[in-house]
Amino acid sequence: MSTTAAIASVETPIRKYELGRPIIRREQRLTFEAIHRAIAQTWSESMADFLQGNVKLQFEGLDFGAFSSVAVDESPSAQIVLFSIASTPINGFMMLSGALAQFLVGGRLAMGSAPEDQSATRFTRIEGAIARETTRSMLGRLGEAYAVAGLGAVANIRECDDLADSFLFEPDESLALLRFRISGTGKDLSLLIALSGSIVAALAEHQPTVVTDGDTRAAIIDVVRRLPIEVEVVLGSWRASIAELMRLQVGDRIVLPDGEDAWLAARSIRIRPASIEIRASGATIDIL
Amino acid sequence: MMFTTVVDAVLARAKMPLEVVAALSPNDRLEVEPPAGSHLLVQLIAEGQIIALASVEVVDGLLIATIVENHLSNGPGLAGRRIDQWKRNKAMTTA
Repeated sequence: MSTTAAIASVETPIRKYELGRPIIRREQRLTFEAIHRAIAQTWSESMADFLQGNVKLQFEGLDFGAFSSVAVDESPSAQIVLFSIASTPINGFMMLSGALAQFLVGGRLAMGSAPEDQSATRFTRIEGAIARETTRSMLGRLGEAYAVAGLGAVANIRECDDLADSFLFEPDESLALLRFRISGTGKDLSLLIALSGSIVAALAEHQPTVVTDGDTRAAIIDVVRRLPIEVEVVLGSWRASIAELMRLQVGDRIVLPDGEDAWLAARSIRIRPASIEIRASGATIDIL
Repeated sequence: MMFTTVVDAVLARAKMPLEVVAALSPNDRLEVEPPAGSHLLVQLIAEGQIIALASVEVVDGLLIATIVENHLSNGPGLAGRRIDQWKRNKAMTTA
């Protein structure tokens, strides 16, 4: 049985109320998570040709934390890209762990998985260029998804060596932290997107549809159904060497695929096969 | 070592509601029309970047693209001219 004196001697941890921490409605959070789950799938599908072992990037979840609480991967091969959302005060960064960057570059160069101790080694110039290009490409797809979701345009993109010197956030600024991971390899193949905490509220500002309390799932599906999506009509594709592409000049002529095996694509994912007939006055696309 | 990449020839792009895209079915027909007096254009895209813009014509039964803008020589990552030149007709064929 406790005495009053005994209770008084127990130190209860005092948790500071965080005024800067954003208030998020459940519907906003679910929609925001759904967007990033779709981004993980888009990344995996777009990199399927070189993701070793048929693995996939998976969205682990959203939480909030101060900038100072973010664990920075200090390995020299880690990739950090800073960005902002145009016309908003929202800043963000995307950080690939060194092991993930090594994994992706190894896949691109068909060199297999890097040994454990190589994640701490510095990239060669070519590997570094491939890592930056891969990171930019992933950020490009993130930007497309944000634009489609009405979150705004990803802008002011720049690479960063040391996050602490980026002057992007105050140490105690509350951030939305979106964590992604490739599991099952025994390595820290992780990716983090951090955004100003107000990003989730921005989602609500751009969504005119009222989400009712009664049927949240149906309401979210309804919102997603009406989201605009950019569709591309692709005549065909072919493999070309980088050197060949660098030699392209204005006036050069290329024989294109005939359009018999064309397709419609959204975010580089083939969504419908099609046949395209080119005429002098335009083109006709028949969905197959 | 020779590095290669996949080049996509994109004839047109447009924003459509997800539900309209989902409803596209066989025998639906889409039409691409260049602006009056202009050639049909195609974007050549590699690794998500527009590397060149080309006009398209049929020569001896072959589709020939003639490069009119080369974005690689101007540095990577430049956004090309958009090809918003299509309209959609639902199920105009014999279905």
